[in-house]
Amino acid sequence: MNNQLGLWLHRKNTQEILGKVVVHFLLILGAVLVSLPFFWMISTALKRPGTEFTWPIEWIPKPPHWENFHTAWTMLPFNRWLINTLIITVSTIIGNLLSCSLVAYGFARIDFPGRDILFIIVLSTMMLPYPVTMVPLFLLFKALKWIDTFKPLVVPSFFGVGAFYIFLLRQFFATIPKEYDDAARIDGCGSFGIYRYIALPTIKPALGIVAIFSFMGSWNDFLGPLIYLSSTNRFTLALGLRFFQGQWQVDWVHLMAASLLMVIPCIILFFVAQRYYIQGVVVTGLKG
Amino acid sequence: MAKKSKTYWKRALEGYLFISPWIVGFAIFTAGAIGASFVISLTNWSMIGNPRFIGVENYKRIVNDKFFWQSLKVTSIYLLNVPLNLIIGLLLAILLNQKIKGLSIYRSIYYLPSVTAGVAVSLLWLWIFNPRFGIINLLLSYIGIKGPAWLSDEHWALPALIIMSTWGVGGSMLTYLGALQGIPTQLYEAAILDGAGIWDRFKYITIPMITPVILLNLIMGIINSFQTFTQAFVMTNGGPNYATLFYVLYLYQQAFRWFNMGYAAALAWILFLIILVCTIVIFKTSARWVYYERS
Amino acid sequence: MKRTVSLGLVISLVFSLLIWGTNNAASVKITFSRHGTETDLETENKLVKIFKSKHPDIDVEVLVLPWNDYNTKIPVMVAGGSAPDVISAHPALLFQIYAAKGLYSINSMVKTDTTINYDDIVFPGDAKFSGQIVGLPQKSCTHILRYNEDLFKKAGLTTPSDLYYKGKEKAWNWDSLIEAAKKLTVDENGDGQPEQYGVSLDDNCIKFSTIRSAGGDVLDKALTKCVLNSPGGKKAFQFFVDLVRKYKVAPPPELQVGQLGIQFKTGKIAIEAATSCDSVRDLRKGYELPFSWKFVVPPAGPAGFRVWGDTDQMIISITSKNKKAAYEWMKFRSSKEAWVELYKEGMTLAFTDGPTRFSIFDIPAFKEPLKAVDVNMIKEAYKYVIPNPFLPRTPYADRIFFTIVPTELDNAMRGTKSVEQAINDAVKLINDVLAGKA
Repeated sequence: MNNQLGLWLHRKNTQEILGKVVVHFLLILGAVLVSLPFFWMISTALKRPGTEFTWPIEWIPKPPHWENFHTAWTMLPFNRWLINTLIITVSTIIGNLLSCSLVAYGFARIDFPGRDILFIIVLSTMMLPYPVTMVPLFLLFKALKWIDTFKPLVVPSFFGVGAFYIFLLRQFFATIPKEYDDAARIDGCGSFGIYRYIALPTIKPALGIVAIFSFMGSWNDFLGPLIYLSSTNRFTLALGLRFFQGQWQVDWVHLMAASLLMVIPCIILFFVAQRYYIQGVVVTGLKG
Repeated sequence: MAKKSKTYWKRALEGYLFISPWIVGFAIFTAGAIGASFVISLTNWSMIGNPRFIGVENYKRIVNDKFFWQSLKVTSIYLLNVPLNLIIGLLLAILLNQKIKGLSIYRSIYYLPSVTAGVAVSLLWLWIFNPRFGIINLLLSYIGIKGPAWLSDEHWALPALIIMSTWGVGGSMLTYLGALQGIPTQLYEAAILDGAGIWDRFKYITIPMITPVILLNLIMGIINSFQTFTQAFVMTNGGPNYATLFYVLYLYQQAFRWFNMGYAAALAWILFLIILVCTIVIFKTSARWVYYERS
Repeated sequence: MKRTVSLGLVISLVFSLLIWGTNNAASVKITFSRHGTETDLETENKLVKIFKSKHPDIDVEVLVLPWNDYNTKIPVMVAGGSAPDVISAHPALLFQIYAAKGLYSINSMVKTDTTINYDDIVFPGDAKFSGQIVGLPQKSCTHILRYNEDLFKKAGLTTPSDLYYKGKEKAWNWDSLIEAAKKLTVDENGDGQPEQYGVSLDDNCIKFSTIRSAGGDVLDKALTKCVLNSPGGKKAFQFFVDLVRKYKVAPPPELQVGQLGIQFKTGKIAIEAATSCDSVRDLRKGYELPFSWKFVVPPAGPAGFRVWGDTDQMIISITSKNKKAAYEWMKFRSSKEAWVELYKEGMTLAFTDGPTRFSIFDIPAFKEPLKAVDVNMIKEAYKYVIPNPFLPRTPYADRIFFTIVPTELDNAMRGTKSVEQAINDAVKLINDVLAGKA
């Protein structure tokens, strides 16, 4: 009897180890595939202009032109543009977190008349392709005298214009057990209190996700800045990056160098944010 | 008719208060622009001069426009990427949610596609699909298949873009990860005590608990697929032979290359209606398979 | 103490009001937009400084944007009533602005301006609508070929430049191109895939100029009918297809050899389609190619030499509130003087803007930076831009010449359609577009 139990436990362990090895193998394979373009970016950024397309691909340029990073950054007023982008991005994250969580909570947890129709309207704001709303929006912001300022890029985020974030947060809010609400009400909490003290903390991962997406969205948005900004010193990084793509030629080397510099904050943010909102997993649905 | 109870009005007031930022935002920033775009669709306008009202002429022209039908076909076929990415994103999230060493590093690496410069990604995929030396055809040749010319072949360009779309799975992976995080562990513990196996726990706990996020990714996948633009614009410019003429690409060409803003607006509204109908249908039928903890 | 302070404040307030007021009263601000890259941003800012030293009462604010973004933003600005005072417009945009009466004609200003030698202007037809001059050129460009001189010398072949100078169309024509390309297409390891190609003509403008050099055209004179199926059109299409399919001296489009490092820049294509205004960017310090290269006019077809040449014209927006100042800026920017003064400051327009005056061909600012690639050949190319304007003036120009014709030619070159069928499909589509049916 003990032998059988011992044998069973032994087999379980090998299974576990085998499972782990397979998982690691898959993950590493995937990681390599997934990081290839990234490595190509780095490799290209270090090449001499004009040598980007030799075949077979020269992964490690000899010699590596590290000065390309400096050249790319100083070719254009990127320092100024960095400040502009930071201002816009941070403001937008705050705006989205505040307004979209409020709105999403309303849609998710309060059964008010017209809720479903209004929610469909929220979704429908994402369905019209941007080229046709560009001119009316430009006219609107011109009437408000917000053209060539950051306002058109920032203010709407404080008014729930990020429909995707509303949708996302609504879905997450809807997974909170009803009992939490009931318990809080018994304690005398109003809806806003539930929102603030119970719902928000419970969906921390979703808030982290919204922050990340919102950052990425603002950081990489070139269309908004293109339409609403006209002074070169108000441009953003993403818009500035477009200068490397000419009508007939692309300055690959400096484009990649500048793109890499732009990407570093995103990676750092993701790393930091994930530590913040992903609590260590104890048991998932699939472990043996 | 029964008088609406006090709680009914209380709920109504609360609800509208919570969504008031959106109502204000919609009224000021969105509604006007949307309405204006519809008015534009009833005009002939080059943007440079004054608009000329022509009623539903644009819409009539759309019906006979072979490029409209072609772009609709292309975009609809491309929708196949939605179920593909739904599954891959979920699998990836589950994989990355395991208790494994170095997980946060893996996660950051898997997030890289979302931050890698779009231009770099486009170029790399052009390489991957290169008819002669691209990785895909190289691998196929090892098992004796002569791969197609992919992006240079009008029958394979679209499938190539669908395969390429799996690259963007980082975003949905993130949301699935968040959802998986939100599943109370007590549920799993109770299930284990009841003797449920891996597959049972997946089928009866994991999946139902994340259906709200599945719905999110499904609807967003459809909305975004219908609006695909950048890949076609950068990589194929609608070719070869209009095989990748996505709807919004055609719209963009009409608006900003050929100065037909009125026609483009009409195209936009047709697309809007199509997406709206799809979304409403999915939404209405979602009540049957999405599990919410509603009040 | 308080009184002194407040007095001091009042005095400085009045003083600054005076200064601010004086500046404001005398200083006029105009905006200028053009498409370009980061180099252009630099040169424009420098030119503005030079201009300001001559016209201290005019402030010019420059908006430079990359090509695609420029074509998105300018229409939106115009539609939104915020059009820049001076807009640099490529032919399609110029046509739209003119047709919509969005520009202020400078005809009378130019005619009465004794300081402009209008006979010296490059491609004057580009700026004339119904006999009226509506703009001044900001840059000009020709679409010509460039070849790798080292490859030719290594193969012991007479260079295209020598052929052209010696015998013009008798010596440098389609046949001699094919001959040279054959000798320059090399398949060393015999695997059926050349490592080096003789020629690549992947440029929509050159496709069109080749049709014309074959005696054909895309549209008739009245611009109401497509005439691509003339013998000239067929010959041109066949020429392109033969280069790929028959003589195999040009890379097949479906192979995307550019991604495999088979490019002109890597020395693996001997002759390629180029532009006299943009390809010269490879002459900048740090961007030089590892071999010697020169320009050459596209080879003569059955009807002789034809070259696509055009200008970006600066126009004054009809909504401009400072038309006089705008004209002063335009005049300066378009002048030979701008080239000369900029060159004195250590920069040159030669790497980005083709000449706006014929006399610019002879000044050091143009000759010196470009001498390695044969400035004289560029001058020759300008002679074959017939007619002027080269691009027909129809609102459908962009669609016809940059989408429909290239797509069908690409189909023929890939072999999915015969030349006959490709041309017929193109004709049908173009006629539909002209009739407003597509």
